Amino acid sequence: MMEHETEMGETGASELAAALTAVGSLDEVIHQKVRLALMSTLISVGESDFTQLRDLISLSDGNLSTHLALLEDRGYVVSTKSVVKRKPKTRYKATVVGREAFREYVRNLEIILGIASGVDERTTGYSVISLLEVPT
Amino acid sequence: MAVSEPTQHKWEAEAQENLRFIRELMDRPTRHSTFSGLSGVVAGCTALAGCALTYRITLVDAEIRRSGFQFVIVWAAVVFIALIADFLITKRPAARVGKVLLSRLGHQMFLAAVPALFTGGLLTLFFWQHQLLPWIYPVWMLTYGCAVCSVAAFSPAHVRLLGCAFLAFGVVALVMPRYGLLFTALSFGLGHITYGILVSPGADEE
Repeated sequence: MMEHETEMGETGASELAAALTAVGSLDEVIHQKVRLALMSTLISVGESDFTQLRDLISLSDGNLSTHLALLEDRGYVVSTKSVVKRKPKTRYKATVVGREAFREYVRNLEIILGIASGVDERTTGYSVISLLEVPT
Repeated sequence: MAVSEPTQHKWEAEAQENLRFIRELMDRPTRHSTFSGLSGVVAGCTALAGCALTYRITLVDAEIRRSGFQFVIVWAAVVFIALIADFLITKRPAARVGKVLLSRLGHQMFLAAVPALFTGGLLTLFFWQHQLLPWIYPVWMLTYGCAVCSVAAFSPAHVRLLGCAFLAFGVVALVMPRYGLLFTALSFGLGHITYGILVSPGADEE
């Protein structure tokens, strides 16, 4: 009985240690709500232009520009400019570095919640990390 | 190393909220392009038209074996028209607003549905070759039900109900093969129309 309790205590301590490490490792750039929304959307839709992102996330132009610029500075997002029907158009895409950082961020969230099986029963039935396993 | 319980709960609540937020954003493109009430209604109407045509060309189920080729053509056309209608109604507008036709989640849903749909297609060819087409109705309902149940793992709860309804229809049709066409009209036809009407307000909001 005592041994069992000690084992349980050790497991709890190691889970807590893992959660502590995960909290410390959370990427501050992605952790911000708007940038989190931008990264989630870009990874989900693949590629999007400025207007589409603005409509999808319901942000003002200035706010969106600031957050996209920060993500570009960090190398998480890359933009390409073109002219469509004489109008300049900027398209945004998550980079490999961005995808990896996002994956790491989600993995840390799941460690904090103690989700190791890939199935998140506490919310809606499947793990977010499993969505990121599909190759591009 | 000492962390108070309230702090730990705060981390967990925040992590859970962020995961829910990410999932919601990542689900949005797929839900928008997958669950359209109108395309469900159109698919149901096309299936009903397919049933009416099948009835006309065969008159009674038991004679399908003599008109197998027409049968396959009719139902291939039904599937084709339903897919084209779905593309025109939901996928194209979704793409116009920057939503991909097949998001990551959509990709996973597609992969989940493929084995059951492939089995259904393969068995159709097998039954056709062996002139046993009347038995294909329950097989369609069962394999389609399996595909919908597989997709339900990534979808709102009502999708599972739709899958279970198809499985139930399949079992009944297997027991009463004489009424296979009738059950096809009820499940693929009226079932899709009812489902389309029921889900349309929520789905179309997105």
